[in-house]
Amino acid sequence: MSEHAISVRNLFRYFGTLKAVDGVSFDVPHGSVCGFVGANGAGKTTAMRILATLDYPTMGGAEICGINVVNHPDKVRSLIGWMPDHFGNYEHMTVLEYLDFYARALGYRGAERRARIEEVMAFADLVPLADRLSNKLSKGMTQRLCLGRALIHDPQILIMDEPAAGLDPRARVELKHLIRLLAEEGKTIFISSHILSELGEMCDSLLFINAGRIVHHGDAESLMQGSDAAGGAYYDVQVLGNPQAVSDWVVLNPDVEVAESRKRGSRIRITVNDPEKSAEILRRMIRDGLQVVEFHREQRNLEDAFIDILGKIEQSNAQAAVLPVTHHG
Amino acid sequence: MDDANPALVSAPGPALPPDLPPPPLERINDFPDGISPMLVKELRQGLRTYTFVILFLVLQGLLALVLMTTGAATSASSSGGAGDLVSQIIFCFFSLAVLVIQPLRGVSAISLEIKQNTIDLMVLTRLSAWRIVWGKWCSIVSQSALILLAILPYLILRYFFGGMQLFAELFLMLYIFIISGTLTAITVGLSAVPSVLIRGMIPIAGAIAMSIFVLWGLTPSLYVFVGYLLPSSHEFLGAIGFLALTLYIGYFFLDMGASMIAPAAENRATRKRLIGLGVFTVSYWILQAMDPDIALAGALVVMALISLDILTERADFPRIVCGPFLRFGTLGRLVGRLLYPGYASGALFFAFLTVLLVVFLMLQTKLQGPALRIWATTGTSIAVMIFPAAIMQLFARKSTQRFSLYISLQLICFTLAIIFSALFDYLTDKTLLWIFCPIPTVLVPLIDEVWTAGNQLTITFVTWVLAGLYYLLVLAGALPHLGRMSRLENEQLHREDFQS
Repeated sequence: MSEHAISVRNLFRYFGTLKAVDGVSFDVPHGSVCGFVGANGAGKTTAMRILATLDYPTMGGAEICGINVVNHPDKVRSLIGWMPDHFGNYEHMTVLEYLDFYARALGYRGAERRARIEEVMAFADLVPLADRLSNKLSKGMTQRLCLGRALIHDPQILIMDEPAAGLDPRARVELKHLIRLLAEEGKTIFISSHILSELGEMCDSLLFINAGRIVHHGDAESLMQGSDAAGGAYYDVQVLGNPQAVSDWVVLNPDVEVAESRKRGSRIRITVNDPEKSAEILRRMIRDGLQVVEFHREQRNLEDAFIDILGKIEQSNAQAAVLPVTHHG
Repeated sequence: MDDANPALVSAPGPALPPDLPPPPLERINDFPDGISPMLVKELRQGLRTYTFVILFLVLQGLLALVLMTTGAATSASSSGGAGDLVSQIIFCFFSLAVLVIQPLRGVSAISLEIKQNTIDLMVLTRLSAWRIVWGKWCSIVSQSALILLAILPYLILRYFFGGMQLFAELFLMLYIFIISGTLTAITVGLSAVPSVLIRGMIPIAGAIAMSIFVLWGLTPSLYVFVGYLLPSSHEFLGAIGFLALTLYIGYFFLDMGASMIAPAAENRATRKRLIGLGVFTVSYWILQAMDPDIALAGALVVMALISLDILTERADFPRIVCGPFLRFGTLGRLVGRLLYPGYASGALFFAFLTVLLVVFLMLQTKLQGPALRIWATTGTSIAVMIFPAAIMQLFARKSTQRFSLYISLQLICFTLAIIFSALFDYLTDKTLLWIFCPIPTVLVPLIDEVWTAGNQLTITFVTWVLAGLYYLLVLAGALPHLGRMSRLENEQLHREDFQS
């Protein structure tokens, strides 16, 4: 068994002069849930389509369980389940017939075919819909049907492109639950979404892509704990007595700023994102006579983290643009 | 998820609640496992479509009505001779159903799958692009076969009206069925073309032409037509040739549709070109024994079809395609220049076919007298085939819709030729029309009108010079892509070395 479920190395995909994917490299370990985040047109779908063997790279390579997606697309297809961002259902075909078609197309025969259909119908809660026409389903039902279809051949890896797009809150919860169940079964899930808070809850790691390049790869927790674009972190401080005391104290301490005055204290920003520095500031507050009853770090949401990362990139790009050209040699 | 199960939402656990009945799995055993999955899907959908159900019922109703009224009229007058009329009516209805309505059902066969993004889902199964297209064709043709079987009882009843030519009528029915299959293949294949205009225009124009043929051409001369099909006549060989060409056209369009939806790593071009080359060569030499003119016409039709494909294929393909060729070393690389996918190798394959045709002609004819007309016709035909590709090279090099563009340009050229042909009758100075001879289709009527002993050689020379010029333009456009092939081959070789 290969080390990684998904392995991408220097992947490029150009459409004429447009660089849809521009030198992407990353690994996704077996049995993990990896979120793929990026704005529209960032290159998510193109990269996912290459992994699903539906497109091919201009340069570079990608492997699924150690198998090259370009050289051995048939082998890769048996290992992956693909859920596209949008697809239509067939007229005059029931949910049961829809799944039966894909089971037949995947080579299942007789009792095995029936067993596979029964299993995915049970998993995706499609039994009550068996006789419903597939083009008369709600968006949520359609996504469940699509998930059922993607699971018919019991793939090791699921590649899901925006599966929650257009779903109502209840359908999203259901889909999230199904994805969690699949993760518990040990399947590797590579999922893209715009709803970052949901990805944060269910993903072991997050990949941020911007303009065809990976700009961050890490776990959601560290992102939410991470510093803002300027390297600072926010804390909620509540005190007994006069809340103005916090603001007065901050004026005398240059490495702390008041972000917002509150009823029982202040929201402060510590300019250096370092736990030791935070502990030292808390000690100083108490030493200086502030009656601190609450001192906790605010968690950023993933949207803020994503925007901060993009901000840092834009800042460094701008700096690079104004740097004088150095001639070597 | 409107009808969602609340248990599923609130807490993890078994997804299937115990009180739900098991899924009605016995219903998916309506088709045995041995039948192609694509055919099963298409039949399940197709047999439920309103078009088929209404067509089937209306046809039955009309035929029953015709037989009853004819029967009543015959018994009242006690006179015979009604059989011919009944046959004509049966064939007319049958032909309209299978030559017009059924093929038109293929117009959206693949485009709908592409539009709904379901083609990707199918490609990811074990279904190849060919099996998808073939399944769609088989489904419509199976339904046409159902219609054929349904009208057989009426033909048996028609026997009692007298004057029946059993074998001739069965032959005719088979012929119509084969033509229906070919027309269906054309519409199914063309349904993969991205351009809505081309996808709709050609089949609808074809349907109108077939309707005219059925209503005004076929029915009044039923037995004259059948007479051509009967054995032991000179036309029999022609009928066999016609049948073979029909089968090739059907195959060609289905494979063309399959190529349009196949992943780029799936090389469909090589087999298609080799089959085309085989049909081109074999049909020429078989028909040569019958009539050299028919042989040339057949070869040019096959070459025109091949050109339509090879000059419009997308140029880029992944390096994996080079692998099988590289196993044969330098020879493989050379053959690859003719058989790799894309219009760049297509341009070289076109030159190869042209040289082959020239060799065939040189073995049969000399460059003088009546044979010169054959050379002029061949030169014009080759110029006509290559001209749209040359125009695309000049003005639409980066177009992603080469097929649609090629067809559109060809249609414009033929329309111009018709206009110039009409103009010719009104012009006193005929030489004026030579200004337009760079449009090769204009040469077709022009040659007919000005072919005299004095200018035969000049006209022949002009046609071949035009064909050569246009070919050089196309080749110039192909050169960068041919260079890229070497790079892909080297990358593939490097990769194989690395893996080994």
